[in-house]
Amino acid sequence: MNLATIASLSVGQHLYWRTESVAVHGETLLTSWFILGLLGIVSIAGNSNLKSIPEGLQNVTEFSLEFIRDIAKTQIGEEEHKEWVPFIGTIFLFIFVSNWSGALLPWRVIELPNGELGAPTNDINTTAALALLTSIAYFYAGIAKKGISYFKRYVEPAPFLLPINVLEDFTKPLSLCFRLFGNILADELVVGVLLLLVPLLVPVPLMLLGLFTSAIQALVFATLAGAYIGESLEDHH
Amino acid sequence: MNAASRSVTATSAKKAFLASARRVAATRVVRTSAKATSTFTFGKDLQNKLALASKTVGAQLLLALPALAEEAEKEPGKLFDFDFTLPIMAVQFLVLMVFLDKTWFSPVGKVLDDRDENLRNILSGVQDNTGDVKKMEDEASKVVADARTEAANLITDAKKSAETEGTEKLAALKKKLDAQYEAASAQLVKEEDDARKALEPEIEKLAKQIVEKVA
Repeated sequence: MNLATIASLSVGQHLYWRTESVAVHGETLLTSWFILGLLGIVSIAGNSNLKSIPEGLQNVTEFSLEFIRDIAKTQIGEEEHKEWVPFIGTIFLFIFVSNWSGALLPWRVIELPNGELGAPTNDINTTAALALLTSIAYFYAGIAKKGISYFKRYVEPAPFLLPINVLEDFTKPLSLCFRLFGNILADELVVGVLLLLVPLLVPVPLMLLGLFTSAIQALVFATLAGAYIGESLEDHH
Repeated sequence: MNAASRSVTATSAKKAFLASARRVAATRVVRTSAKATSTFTFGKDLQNKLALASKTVGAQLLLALPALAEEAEKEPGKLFDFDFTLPIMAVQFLVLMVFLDKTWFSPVGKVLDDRDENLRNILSGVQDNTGDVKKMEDEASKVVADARTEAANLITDAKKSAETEGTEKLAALKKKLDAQYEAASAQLVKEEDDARKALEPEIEKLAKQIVEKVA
């Protein structure tokens, strides 16, 4: 009894910061600020003195930008991918750094009154925010390019597919949101439970697997966001 | 504590069970109740053991994780707890996007594009050079050919001049030698004549003496 209670303890516990009308999850915001700060520092330190022959951190920033551009180019296409690089790049970097911070940094060492620190992406609010922004992004992309005729895609390739096409606009953000949330939360839980049971060596393979899934999930989210944007920019005839 | 509360529930359950049993079949009350009591005593034993085991395991975990143990008393966890964190995260994300675009994606992208263009220019320049190289090669072979003909000319000229010089020298030498020979032979003839002239009175004298002796 006690075992199960303790193992499931951290699930859904939050450090609530309340004002009179709203409540927010303090632990999620704290770690997200850490990640925002980390990305900001890396960006400023790596890109403040750019050279044509890269040195030090500039190698890292250039490599990541090339990686992101490659994702954007394959998903959106050669002509239109440039203006979406910031969006896809920020999604990738934010999720990747968040996930890895959850997997690598010993957040739990810092004790909170309630809940525990972890990757911001193991809070459904974070993943839902990213998924909703992705939805807004692909709607914006389509409407900005085609205007009102963007909505023609709901009756393509055949009008009877309209319900499925409409449904897709709901399933896309839902799947994005829950895939990331579920993967990261599940990974942290599995590692946490194993650490409780056998706090030596046994969780290490699962931690490594967690690092792998974390990176993959960041790539998947960025790739799918790119694919959705690319889909709505596509020309239908 | 746990075991005590459980035994309380067990006894209450037993009472209820007995009452219902009495209502259903009054004749089998004694046997049924006896059976039920034995089941419950067995169950109680098991419960006591389990409680002890879970207490010892729990005690270890509680010792290891006092912070988590405290949380057991708190409100139940909410996994899908949407609240104001969502819009805050969205705004944070947009701020991060603008910031990274200004400090990372745009400037580094510009560096990458510039480098690409630079390399492309250099590459196209290299392709243009192939024409130059051909021209230079032609020029070089022409220069070599010119040099060859010039060298051949020089050699023939030198041969020619050397030949003429040689014949001239030879002729001059021959002339000189001829002159010397002439001079020498002329002198010889002259000396012969002189000697003959010088000898003639002697010969006459000798002839006179011979004639005198003979006579």
